[in-house]
Amino acid sequence: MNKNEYKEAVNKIVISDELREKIIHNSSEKKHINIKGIIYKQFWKTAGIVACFAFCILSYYAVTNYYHFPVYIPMEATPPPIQTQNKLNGSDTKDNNIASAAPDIESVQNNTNTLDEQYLSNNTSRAAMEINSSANSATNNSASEDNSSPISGENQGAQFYSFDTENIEQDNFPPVLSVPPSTDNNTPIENIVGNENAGGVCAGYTEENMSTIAEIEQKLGYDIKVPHYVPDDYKTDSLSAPFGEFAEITYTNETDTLYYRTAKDTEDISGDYNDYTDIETVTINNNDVTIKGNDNLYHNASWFSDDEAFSIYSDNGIKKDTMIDIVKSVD
Amino acid sequence: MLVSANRIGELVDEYGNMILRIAYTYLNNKVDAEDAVQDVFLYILEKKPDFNDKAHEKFWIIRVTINICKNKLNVFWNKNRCSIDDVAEIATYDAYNTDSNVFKAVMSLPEKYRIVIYMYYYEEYSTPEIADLIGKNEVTVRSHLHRARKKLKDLLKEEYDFEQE
Repeated sequence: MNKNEYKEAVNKIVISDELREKIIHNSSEKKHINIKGIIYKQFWKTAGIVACFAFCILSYYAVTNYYHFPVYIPMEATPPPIQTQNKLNGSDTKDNNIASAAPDIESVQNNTNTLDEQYLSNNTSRAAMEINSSANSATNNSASEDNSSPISGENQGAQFYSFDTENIEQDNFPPVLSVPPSTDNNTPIENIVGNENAGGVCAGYTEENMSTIAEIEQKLGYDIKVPHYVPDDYKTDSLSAPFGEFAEITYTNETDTLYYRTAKDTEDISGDYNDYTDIETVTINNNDVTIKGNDNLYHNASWFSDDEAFSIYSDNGIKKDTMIDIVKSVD
Repeated sequence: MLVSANRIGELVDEYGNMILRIAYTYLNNKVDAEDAVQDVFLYILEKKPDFNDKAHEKFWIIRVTINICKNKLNVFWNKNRCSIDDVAEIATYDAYNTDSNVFKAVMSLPEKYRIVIYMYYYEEYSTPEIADLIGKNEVTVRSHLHRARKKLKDLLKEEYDFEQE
């Protein structure tokens, strides 16, 4: 009996017409909402994919531009300081000096094509190192007003300037080292080296490349000392005054290149930051000369005299006596 | 038999009352029970299940109803309030005017006993089927049924006449 009474009571629980209508109405609304929801989901799915693509593209360009940014801006924003002191006097004398130090300029002309190839193949790492140094000096110049160390390459920001030399040429970036004459075989040799009227001698940094010591002195605004002795097989390759900050003369033979630098500076201007096992200090002409090298081959000699800094750098290294002889001849 | 929005009307007519009764048995509250009924049909619309036969359809709907009711019982609001039916002065409140002491006695039991009583005596499912529907062990269902009868016997005294298993 209880069971039947329970069933009868439960039978009275029925869904009202109002609730029924509400459910049917909700179901039709739900159908409409479903279509809207699908469109809504599709929109955001598509928007998400587009946003991902846009983010990837922007990231690519941001990264690309980031690595180019420090290369361009410091070099263009900070022009080299203008030296106004010690106006040039007796440039003819210095012309004679360079003539004695490098008497075979015409033989350089004869070997131009060979030197071009050697220069490009031997000095790639050297060029990258010099660019690091000079880019740093440009940064330092912009930070200090007194230009006390315009070409000293500190480690600050050095990592931004480590790039390969192929990109330098592609971007028309002016390298510090004077680029050897054009390798175009159709160009007459007289128009490449040794002819002052030849016009654009070098392809990479024509403004700083010089033909005579007098031009360098005129550019720097003071007299410079040059080596009067280099080993016989070394020939003068180029003269330059990068950024108008220091003088650089390069001598090459078949296997090596010597770089002589001088500037009015109180810090090392060699641009060589390699670690060497053999480091000695030798007194030459009353100056303490630091020579550095490995395995009895010396790559670097640097010294200071009065307010001037000097350095000699050899790519492949030379004997200690040879290095000392070259240093002694600087006057 | 794929459920579409157009078939909801038929389903309401066919299963609406059953869903409401199960929901009311579980929730012991008319408003909550009606909410649960609407939720069940919205869930059916959302899932659009494909049933093999009528038995499968009914079983699926009962199972969905039980799960929705359990979810409603587990929400914080339901756990921390007192049902209007539990208030002493209106304890005789009869939302559906059943006017039955037996029904009131059943509804006064805990929800785990109410649902087995409903399934066993009204829907006439066997204990293994009830175990499947509410997701419990058959032994547990038998135990709940036994305890529910015992409680009803205490409540109804001489009126008690629920048959034994």
